[in-house]
Amino acid sequence: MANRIFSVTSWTATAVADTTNMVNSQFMGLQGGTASQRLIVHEVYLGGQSSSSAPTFMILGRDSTVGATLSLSAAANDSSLDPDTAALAAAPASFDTATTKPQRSSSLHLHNMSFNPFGGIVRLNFPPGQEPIVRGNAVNTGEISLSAITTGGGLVGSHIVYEPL
Amino acid sequence: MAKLSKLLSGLGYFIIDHRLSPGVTKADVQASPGAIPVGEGAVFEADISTCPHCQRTIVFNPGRVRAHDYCAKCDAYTCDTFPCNVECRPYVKMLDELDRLDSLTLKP
Repeated sequence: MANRIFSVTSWTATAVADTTNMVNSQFMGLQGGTASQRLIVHEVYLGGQSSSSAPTFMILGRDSTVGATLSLSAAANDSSLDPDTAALAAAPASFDTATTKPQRSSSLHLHNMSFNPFGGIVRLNFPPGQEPIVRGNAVNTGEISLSAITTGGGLVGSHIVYEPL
Repeated sequence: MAKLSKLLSGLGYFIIDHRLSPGVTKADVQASPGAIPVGEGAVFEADISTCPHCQRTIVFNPGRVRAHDYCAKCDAYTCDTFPCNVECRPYVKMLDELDRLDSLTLKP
């Protein structure tokens, strides 16, 4: 399949604890488009936009409660990297807004990206063939999210490059 | 166990760039397991791998002196977390098993 990029121009990464409802436009979520669709995550990037020092501890993790009624806010965008990419019958769900809020699992953190969005940059490129997989849309395996934990409040712009299989 | 050179090819990449930032201090990250304190003006760059059993990232910290855990069946480094470092339960195999169970459930 073809790579896609899910980006959010600017958002405030407010800290939210594990197993606690996230807040709209304060996370990035990625969920399989069907019960068995697989997505692989290639890259995560965060660019700081804060105008003052604000250490922000970002976690890429699996969700123990998955979001429902998902949508993208005005600041968010999901598009294919190749303009010739054909539309999938079941599109993966990238979202930063949900009616049923996602909750990060307390035991399935994948990566900690603590940085200072006042001028800081974080980039994570997974090794080819070892990318984390999102399978389906069930709890613990079917959704990952990028959000702040314990310390947050920084303004960031970010993207996730992923690939539906 | 020493690092196996063949496992270090094709690794991923992780950077925290605080060259133009006040950065994050040790005190800041004290309560955040896994966080890497990168101070003002500093850059942290590291190779990364993914644990084949849980898919957490493994950051190859250049200052680490303990050997990384290794799974001979997966031929890959594993994370330091139990049970990933003591038994071979590949994450992909677990997903394949979910696929198999789903296909059984969907049969008429």
